[in-house]
Amino acid sequence: MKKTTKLTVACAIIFADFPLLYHGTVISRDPAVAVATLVVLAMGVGLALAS
Amino acid sequence: MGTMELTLGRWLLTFLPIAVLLVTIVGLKWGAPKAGAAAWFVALAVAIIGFGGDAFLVALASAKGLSLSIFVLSIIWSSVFLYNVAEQLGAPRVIGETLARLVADPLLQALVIAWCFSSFLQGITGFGVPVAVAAPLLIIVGVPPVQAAVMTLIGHSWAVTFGSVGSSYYTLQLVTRLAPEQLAPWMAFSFALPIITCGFGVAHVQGGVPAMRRAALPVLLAGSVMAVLMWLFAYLGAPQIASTLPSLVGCLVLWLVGRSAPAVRRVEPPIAGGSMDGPLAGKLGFNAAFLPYYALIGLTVAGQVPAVKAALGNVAWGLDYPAYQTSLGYQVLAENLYAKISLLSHPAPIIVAAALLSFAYYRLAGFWRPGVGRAAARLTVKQCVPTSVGIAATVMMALIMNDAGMTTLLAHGIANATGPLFPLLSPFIGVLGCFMTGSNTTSNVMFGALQYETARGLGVSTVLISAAQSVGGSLGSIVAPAKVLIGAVVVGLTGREGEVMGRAIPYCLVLVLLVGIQTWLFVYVLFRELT
Repeated sequence: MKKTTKLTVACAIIFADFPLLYHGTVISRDPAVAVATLVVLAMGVGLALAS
Repeated sequence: MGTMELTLGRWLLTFLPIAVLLVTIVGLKWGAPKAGAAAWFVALAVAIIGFGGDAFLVALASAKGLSLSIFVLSIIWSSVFLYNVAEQLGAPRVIGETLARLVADPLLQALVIAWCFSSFLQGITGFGVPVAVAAPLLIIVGVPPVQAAVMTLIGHSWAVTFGSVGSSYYTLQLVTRLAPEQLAPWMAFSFALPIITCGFGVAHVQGGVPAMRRAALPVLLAGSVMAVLMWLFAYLGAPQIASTLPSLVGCLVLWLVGRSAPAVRRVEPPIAGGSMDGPLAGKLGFNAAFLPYYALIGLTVAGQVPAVKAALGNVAWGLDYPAYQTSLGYQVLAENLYAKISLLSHPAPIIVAAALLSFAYYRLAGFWRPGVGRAAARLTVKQCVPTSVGIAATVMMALIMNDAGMTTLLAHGIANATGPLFPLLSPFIGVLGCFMTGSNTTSNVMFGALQYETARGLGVSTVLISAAQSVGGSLGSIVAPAKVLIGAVVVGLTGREGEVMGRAIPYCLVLVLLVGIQTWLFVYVLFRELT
């Protein structure tokens, strides 16, 4: 995958995960949901790291 | 807030995410997205292993980081898109060439283009655009390439904090939580000296000490007017135009000086060559080219009218976050409407409205052509995606450090080590952040809270130290590799970036040292009572 594509996908994952992250940590306050969405966030950030 | 014992080992652990940023950006030459991502992972690990955080805290802090990122990125995306639309129509070139024709003296031309016009561009866009547009204009009027790049890097640096429609200022205000009516005017006040010294810096690059002497009248006159206007707009609650309008008025003052002061006027060919390269640049007059910015200024002023404020002042979007406590006892307070985006005071809605108004005018007047919007959008995505990832990762890292109590501990360590010398060093921390990331905004995210906490630890003015952070971050643009690269490329010095950087570094060091001395005097002598 090209660097630009990786960054675009990383950007999409990070910001698409935001509502889920917010739901898990603030609305449902469910640690399991928070951790799951944190893992998705880490995947997005990881993709940026791999770019 | 809870207390944690300050030991050298714990302090070094706290410093680890910042060290990773430094090493990866400066040492390994990684880009901001990649380096920010690495630092986020390290901050996450340190918060959990060494500071009693857990996955929930990291998730919560990251969500807050994304809230803050949306606040900043909405300004960046909208302003870059507005500029790209204008650029597709050839507007910046028309504006720049008109300004270059205002004066005949090469020294005044250098000041108009590198000191005022580039700062105007910084006011409305940023992200390297001032350097990319103004440096080639200097070449058109006969300035050698290295000087052209260095002049622009120095000349626009005073306008960065209130530039990009205020994004760096708003970010600092958010991370320090200082009252806007207190922070903005003091910030502008702290910029008075750099405004003038940047002008002298441009003159020195143009012709050494003799040029500085010759430039004394125009620089002091225009600089004073710009400083007063910057303070006034900041005081009146319009920081988003506190770089834009003063720099335009600066052009006007220099034009008046050029017309009325024979001592600084020499007859030279006005423009050696060059042409307007936008597709409609031949048709577009100055006022039409400037329309998006007339609209931006007009809408900002309209937003300050009491009746408008009363009707729309409460229209805002922000998220609430709960309080939290780490297992080591560090308490994070609850947040209401965190990173609030207000319809009237946040720049993004105003920029969008200005873009729509301009679009309507250009269509009606026949300046618009099919494909301009799409081309501008494509360019905006290309420019803004890496910036967005870099800012999101770095802001999330900074929020994890904040909420785990790492920033407070780091600040206490610095306060203990530097003591009364801290105000002198404070702007250099801002420079460091900007040097690492190429962004005053990111520098403020990384170090804004740290500077605030350090000032609190030392019992000195948090307002003045926070302002010094951003002034340093602003002047750091002179040597930020990201901007130096742009400067070198646009003047045809690809591969000779070191030459530009080498010329720029001494100016940056002198200007920042002067700010450090100013901050020390403000904090300990002139405004000791200020909190």
